[in-house]
Amino acid sequence: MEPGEDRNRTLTQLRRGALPHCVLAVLDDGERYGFELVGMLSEARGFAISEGTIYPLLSRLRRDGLVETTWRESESGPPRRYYRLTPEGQRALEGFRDDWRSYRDAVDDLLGTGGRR
Amino acid sequence: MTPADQDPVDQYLRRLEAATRDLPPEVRDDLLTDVHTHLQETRRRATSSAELRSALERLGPPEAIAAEARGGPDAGVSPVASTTSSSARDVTTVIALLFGPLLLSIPLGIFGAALGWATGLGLLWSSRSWTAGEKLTAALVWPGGFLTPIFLGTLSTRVCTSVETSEGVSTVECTGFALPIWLGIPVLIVVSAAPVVVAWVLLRRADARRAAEQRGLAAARI
Repeated sequence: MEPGEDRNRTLTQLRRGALPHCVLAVLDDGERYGFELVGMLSEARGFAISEGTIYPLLSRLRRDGLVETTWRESESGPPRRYYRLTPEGQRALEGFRDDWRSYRDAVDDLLGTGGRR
Repeated sequence: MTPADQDPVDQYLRRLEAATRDLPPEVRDDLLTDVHTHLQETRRRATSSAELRSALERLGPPEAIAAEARGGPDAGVSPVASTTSSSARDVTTVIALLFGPLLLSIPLGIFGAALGWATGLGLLWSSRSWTAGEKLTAALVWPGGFLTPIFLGTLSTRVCTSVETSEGVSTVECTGFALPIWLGIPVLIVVSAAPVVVAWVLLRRADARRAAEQRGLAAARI
């Protein structure tokens, strides 16, 4: 595999694949409003995503019934749209945690990145 | 304050509005509302125009947001790539259903007819282009494709024989079954036209569905 472009594309695909569940994970501690949620994800180290692209994703998660939203007035500023996990979203997150662990371990085994050198 | 047409936030929103024109209205409204709210919050927190600009940069180009709403950057690749094959496949399915039984019945008789129709049905049921209801309609409307009307046309088993009675009067005696002509012709027309109509509807729907999928209308992909 060529370094550079292909390497970037692989990383992009990995990020894209994991992003929906990372969004669900951020909501695991409780509800967040859009601006706040987007900030938390874009600050996550190594994530390197355009903040704006999280909104279409949130909208998709909502249409799939994994998150639900409520508008609420804020004390200082515009009304905020709060996102929170639905029971289905919670289940999807738990499922992905299991899947991710076994997938990560398998990849680690193959790549020799498991930590034991 | 800068005039509205030079305000970077307004410019950003206008670009997003322009880039999302092709999205379904409810998806678009949702997205515009979210980004608008985000920008209001950004504006409220920004203490300088430089900070505002860097916040807009972090948000990314409006066109990228629109692309993501359409199904992500890779969405343009896979549905387009699959279009030709699935469209060719749809046409094959329809042709197999319409003509398969007829064509195979010529060399292979009833067995060929069954084989031809079964092939068509197999293609139909394994296709992702149609809903279960459409598949069922297709399966029921053209059992045997064009073979059915042809078969119905020759269904008449009526055999008439002229019988001479002992008195020397000949009478015609008929046995068997035939549809009366006033019923037979309309039935034949309907039975011949139905497969064509259903074929046309099926192909139209498959095309419409694929087009919708490419616009990111299809069921959300995670």
